[in-house]
Amino acid sequence: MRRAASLLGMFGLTLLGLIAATFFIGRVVPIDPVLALVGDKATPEAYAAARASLGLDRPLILQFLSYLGDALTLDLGRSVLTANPVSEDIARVFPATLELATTAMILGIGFGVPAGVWAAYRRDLWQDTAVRLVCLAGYSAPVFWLGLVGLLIFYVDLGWTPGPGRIAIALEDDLVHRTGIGPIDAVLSGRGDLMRSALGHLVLPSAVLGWYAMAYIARMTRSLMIAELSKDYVLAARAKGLSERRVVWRHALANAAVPLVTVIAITYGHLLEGAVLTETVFAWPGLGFYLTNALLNADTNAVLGTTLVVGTIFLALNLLSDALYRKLDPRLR
Amino acid sequence: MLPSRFLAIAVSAFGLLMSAPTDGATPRDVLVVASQIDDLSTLDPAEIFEYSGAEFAANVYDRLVGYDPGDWTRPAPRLARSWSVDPSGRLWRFDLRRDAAFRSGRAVDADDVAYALRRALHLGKAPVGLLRQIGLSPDGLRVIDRETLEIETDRAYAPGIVLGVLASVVASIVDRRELEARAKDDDRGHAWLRRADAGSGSFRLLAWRPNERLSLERNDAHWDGAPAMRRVVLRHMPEPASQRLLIERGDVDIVRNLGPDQVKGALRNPDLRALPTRKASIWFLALNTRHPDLGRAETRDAFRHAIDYHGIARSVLDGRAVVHQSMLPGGLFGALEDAPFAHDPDRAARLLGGRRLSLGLDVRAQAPVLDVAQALQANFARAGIAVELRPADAKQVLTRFRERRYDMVLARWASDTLDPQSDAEAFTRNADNSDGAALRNLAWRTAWSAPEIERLIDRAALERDDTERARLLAEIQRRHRVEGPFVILFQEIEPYIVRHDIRGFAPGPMPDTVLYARVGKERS
Repeated sequence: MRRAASLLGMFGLTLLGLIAATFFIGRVVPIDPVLALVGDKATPEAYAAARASLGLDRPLILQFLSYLGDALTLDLGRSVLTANPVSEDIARVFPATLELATTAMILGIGFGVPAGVWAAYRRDLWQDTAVRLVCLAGYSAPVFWLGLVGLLIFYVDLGWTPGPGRIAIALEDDLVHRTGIGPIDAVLSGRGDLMRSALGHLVLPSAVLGWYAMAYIARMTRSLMIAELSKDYVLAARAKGLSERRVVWRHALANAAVPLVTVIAITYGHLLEGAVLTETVFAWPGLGFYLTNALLNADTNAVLGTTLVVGTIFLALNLLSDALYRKLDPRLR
Repeated sequence: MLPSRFLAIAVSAFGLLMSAPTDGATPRDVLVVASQIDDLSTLDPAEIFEYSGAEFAANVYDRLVGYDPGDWTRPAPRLARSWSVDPSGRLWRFDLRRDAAFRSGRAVDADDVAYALRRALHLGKAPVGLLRQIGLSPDGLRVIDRETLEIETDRAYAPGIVLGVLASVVASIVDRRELEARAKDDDRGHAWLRRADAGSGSFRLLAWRPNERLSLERNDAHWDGAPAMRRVVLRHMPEPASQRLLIERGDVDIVRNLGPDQVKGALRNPDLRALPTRKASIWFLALNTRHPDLGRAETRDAFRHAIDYHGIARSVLDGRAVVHQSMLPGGLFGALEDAPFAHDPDRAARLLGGRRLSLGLDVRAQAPVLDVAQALQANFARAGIAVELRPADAKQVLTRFRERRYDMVLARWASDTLDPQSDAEAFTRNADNSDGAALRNLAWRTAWSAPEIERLIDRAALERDDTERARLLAEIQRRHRVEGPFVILFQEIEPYIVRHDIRGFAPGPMPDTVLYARVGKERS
């Protein structure tokens, strides 16, 4: 009980610090936020009215306290750019990021963990070199370039995948957004063309992002597995006559999985922040794209709201990995 | 050692990749445009002051007058069949057509027009300055009968100014019954209309998802005939490279943000053609006259001769702009199209009298603006002017410009109406040069005022003879480009790339001249 209260307190304090830092940094950035609202050619009266409507004529500390008060009631204010409540905007863009990040994570874990295990087991052989090369490419190639090259090869030249966007442009108006997750909404619509299009559009961006995730996870898995495979309990298991598959996948990987959980949580957190460049290349209207746009236009409410959401996700994933850590490692119980 | 399940997953994933469906050509009656539309933040024409919004309003709302494609200097009838002005020059009478109707089916009448203009004045949003430019007031709008409206201006303005304002987005006609029903707290339906439509134009709003897409569906009952396209989709596509790939594959019909190299690459595809369109938008260098060096007329003149205008237009902008050296964009009434300043670094150095200048240049950190700034930096160096580039985000540059915290700014100006008066005012009007001035237009931002030129502007505003007004505007531009702290550089060209089967697309110089009503597809 005490531990839960302490965790909750830390959670709240971290979020408060995050909001305060973002708020005050946002206010000292040399961009006039009124310009995003009324443009460059507004009359002096319209400019003054917009400034007052943003609350910029009040002392900074009052603006901050007022924002905090509203945030406690989940009112994150209105975005200057979209004129919508920020919470509504985030609810609209976050499912797109969740869809892309989760698919990429599934690919990243699905390919990264086995590849890392395989590379560690075949350490310094050609299999290891091959995995490391693939990881190096995924980790070091700019995701923006990778996306464009992917589109050029698989969309333009080969015609195997659809182009940018979450669904065929001509079908977009037919898709009713119930959950915000494209393939699920397509399934709920009961139309085959929408389902195929939504799934097809997910392939290339999630493959690009999944490669990046896979590269990191595979590298970390390889390192962790090399350490585990050199330990005495592995030698003992082999001496007992256990099969190699059982030694590697049941025993060594089970121990490597403990720190691997943190690696996966951090990677997922990064992907949920929004992969700005992937979202830009694939015209994928997610959280990263929304945040970048808001930052460049000094849309303070949108920046604060998004930061709050991203911060909460990170903290929640950290708590989750902490809990899993305890579950997987009996010494911490 | 690697489990066979893993291999199976890998093969399945590859199979999925290979079997994913591609989109193919756009439907015959749907027009898909890929563009950057993240500037769209409101759909209320009384508030719209950005590009994408203006394009939306032009297709969804009617206005009293408009312009026919090809002649952007002569207002033409739209909702008003005809008009006249009394001898005082202040009282305008408009006769409305009887066959225009809103979405509800209700006919558009003079009360709707008066309501729309009164509403825009009441809301006082950013574009209201245009209505105030002709001294419009709620009392000056009088409904004579269902089809006749009188509009009284505060002075006898040049007809082009009055009609130019009435052809602009802020003068769009809205359905008063609909807005009265939607009004909350005296907002005249503004909160609702920011995300909806209440017009009688060629298209109606189907859906808008900010930063994603804007979809319009045709108005079959439009007085000018139903558009050929059942639906128009403006898809937000921030990355020009992605736009190019989409149009090459036929998934979109029109793109508009390609860079010079991308345009050349795209045109190697026989299914695509270019539609370069001169826009009412200019690039210029603003010189802050508060700087001791830039306050001298000879120094400013040196800048004009130090620039290789044609070289930059050819090698850097390469089809995105043409050389233009007057404050009024070419194609607008009275605009000067000549280019009196030539690249002459020796003359520039002589004008500087051996002084070595060191100045900062604020510029948007984005191609091709930054490339132009680098070329200017090289040009100025040859004349003995050392320039430090200060790249920043567009809004940061604008903030510094508006606060007069700069030496030089490379900026862009787009016209609000097709009449040149508001542009001329922006570049010259500076009645209060103090730091606390309320009006901070371009002349104020350079801390420059020229009372004689302002008097000429006043005369041009009230000159009802077109020939004499054009003469006055020419004189203003000639004096402005020699005396003023602006070096006008280029006029923008919008590089539309369209699929070969698109017909009838003739985007004009303004966002609100991009009309889709006459666009069709010719497919065998």
